[in-house]
Amino acid sequence: MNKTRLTGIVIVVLGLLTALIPTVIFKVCAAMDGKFMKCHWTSQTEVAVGIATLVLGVLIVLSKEKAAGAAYAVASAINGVLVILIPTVVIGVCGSADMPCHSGTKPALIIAGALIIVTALINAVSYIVSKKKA
Amino acid sequence: MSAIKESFGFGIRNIRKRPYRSFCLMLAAVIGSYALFVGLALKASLNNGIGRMQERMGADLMIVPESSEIEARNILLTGEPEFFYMDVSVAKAVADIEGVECATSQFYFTSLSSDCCSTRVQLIAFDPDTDFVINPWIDERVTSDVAGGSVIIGSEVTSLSNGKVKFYGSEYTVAGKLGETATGLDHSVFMTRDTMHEILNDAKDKGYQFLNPEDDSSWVSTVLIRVTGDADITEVEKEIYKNAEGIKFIETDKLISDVTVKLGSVENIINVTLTVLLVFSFLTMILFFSVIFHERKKEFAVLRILGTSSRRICLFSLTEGITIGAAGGIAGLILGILTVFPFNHYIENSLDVPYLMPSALAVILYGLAGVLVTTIFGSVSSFLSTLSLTHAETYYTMRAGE
Amino acid sequence: MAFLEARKLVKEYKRRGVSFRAVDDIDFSIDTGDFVMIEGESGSGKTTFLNLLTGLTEPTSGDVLISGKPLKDIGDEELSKIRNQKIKYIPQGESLLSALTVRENILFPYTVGGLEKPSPERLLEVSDKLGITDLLDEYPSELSGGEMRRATIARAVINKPSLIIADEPTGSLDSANTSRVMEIFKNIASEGTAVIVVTHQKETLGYASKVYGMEQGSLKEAV
Repeated sequence: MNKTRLTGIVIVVLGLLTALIPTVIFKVCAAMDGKFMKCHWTSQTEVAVGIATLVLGVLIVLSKEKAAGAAYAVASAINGVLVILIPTVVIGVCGSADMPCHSGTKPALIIAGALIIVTALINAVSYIVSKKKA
Repeated sequence: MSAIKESFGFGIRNIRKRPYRSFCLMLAAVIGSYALFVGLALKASLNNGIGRMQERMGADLMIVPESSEIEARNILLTGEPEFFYMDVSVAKAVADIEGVECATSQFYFTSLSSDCCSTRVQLIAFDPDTDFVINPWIDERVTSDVAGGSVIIGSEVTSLSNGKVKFYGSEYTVAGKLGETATGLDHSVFMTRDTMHEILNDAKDKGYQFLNPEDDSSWVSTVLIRVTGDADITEVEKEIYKNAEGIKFIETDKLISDVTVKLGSVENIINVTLTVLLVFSFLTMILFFSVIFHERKKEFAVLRILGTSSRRICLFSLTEGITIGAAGGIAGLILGILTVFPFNHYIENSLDVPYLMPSALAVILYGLAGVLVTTIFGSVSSFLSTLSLTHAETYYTMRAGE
Repeated sequence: MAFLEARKLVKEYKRRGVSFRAVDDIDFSIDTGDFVMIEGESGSGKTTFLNLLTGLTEPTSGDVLISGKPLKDIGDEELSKIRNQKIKYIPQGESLLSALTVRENILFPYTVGGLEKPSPERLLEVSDKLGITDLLDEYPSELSGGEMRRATIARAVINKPSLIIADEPTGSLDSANTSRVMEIFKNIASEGTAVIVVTHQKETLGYASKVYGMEQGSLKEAV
């Protein structure tokens, strides 16, 4: 198993996690009094970003050209940044520190996003290093 | 010195050359260190929580309406918003009884959850003149007087981005924040009865009525009592019963001992899980190391043949054990930090007992203890596994190992 | 005084409750420059005998003496040092360390012992003679059986030790490489190193200055 493949698989798993965190693992609240709260929209967006990341991960695993793999990795790193920004800046979660979206979903998404960025960068950097060596 | 450096180099080479094996071994260390760190951090937070709760429960006795004992406990323990009322005469009935050092009354009502993205919070009106339960715990951050329409918020109540809080459409200045108490007070907002009157009026306009604001002054939710040092609480209760009807007493001591019992069972679960995982981690490491070293018997024989002393061979395997134990331990520590700190509130809310994390530094010390323990696991298990192989006689098996 | 001497050497093992002598009352000595070959069927006790000579196994009775000093009087640290510097043992089968490259394997004894590392020229000289210069930076897992064998031999001969003991060193080699290895042993013996080679390939016996036969634990000089 080579390193770039491995990062691709890790990114697939993390993308899946990103989609599962707000929907299954740290489920956000349902609509309250018929109104959707911020956490609901964060959840919907994260599912989309998570699936996009998952697809990028699959592309990394499948790409024969290392350069293409590295490009997908950079794209997934950007996705990772989005995963972090959505619950913190772009949309946010509910105000109270005790609500599940605030105490569970948000930190979990931040960690998942950070892991996506780190994994993707490992892939990209190892490509650049191998390029320099060659 | 150079011997240690070389052993380290050789140990690292062996670890890197067998990534899968090393990963499995390290995983055992990760589990051990993670379990120890998270377990100790949880236990410390629970003990800290009950300690703080005990310290901050200012009253010895709480009088509530007869039918509202459970609701009152909820307010105190979890901060779950509740409201109940009794006639203000109860407050007066308490005043002259022997053994009562001081008494103050409070009025409970709640906010709405519909103001987008804020949960319902407990609203508590108190009397700043007689209060002895809230004032002592107001943090230094008091910016203005609590009189004149501003409020004090519990440590876990979040304010709006402009620093104010909003109830029934009106915004209120935050005059101060309470320090953490590990009780329901952390989720409550405190104000004077004048401010309460305003909020009750707003609520009434929006169609929420707790009591008729016109006569809110004739009701209280609870009377909190501190007894004198030598007073018998049961006697005090009897005396109060003579003057008031339809009331129930909640004794703080009993409340805390109830919580302690509950805490004990949570702690038991933690202890058992922790022990099981630690034993698992250690056994896995011993088992793995002895299987690996047994497989590597031939390699040890070669080392002997090349003139490596038994002592040096022990050093080689010890470095492998220490490196794997420490590396896994550090990984476990990082995972633990990623669990305990970001999910602090989540854990607190799921445990349903007072939970208050000690300082981050103290918590990380537990993590270092975890790293130390797995490093010891690694060195002990690698050492034990080598010991059986370094007896000269085993090297005869060089040929049998083929 | 001989460099290495065995006196009334006996090693008993128990197999299924019955004890038998793997090495049975052997007297043997070897001096610098001797090239001794021991021939015998498998199971005749050759490897046990070699393990006893190098102090890796303790005898049931009798003594092994190195420069007149009994091995049983030498502690583990010092005995290890002797194996590291003076007596090079080439065991049967593969004996390269898998975590190290061929070069590191050859130089490993100098990493653990106190001796100064051989010069790069000496390393090249030996690896050229054995035809493994191109393999120096490979890991053992990438080598064929014969290549590993030759790397092991390079490790033993590189510092011109006092004694080389080789257990079936040419077992996995073709005839060209076999004669290559035997020539190296012969040369190193002529330079003053004592060499003991155990084999069951009768055609190599001609290189030796003395040939012994081993049968059921007993050693007899062949005529």
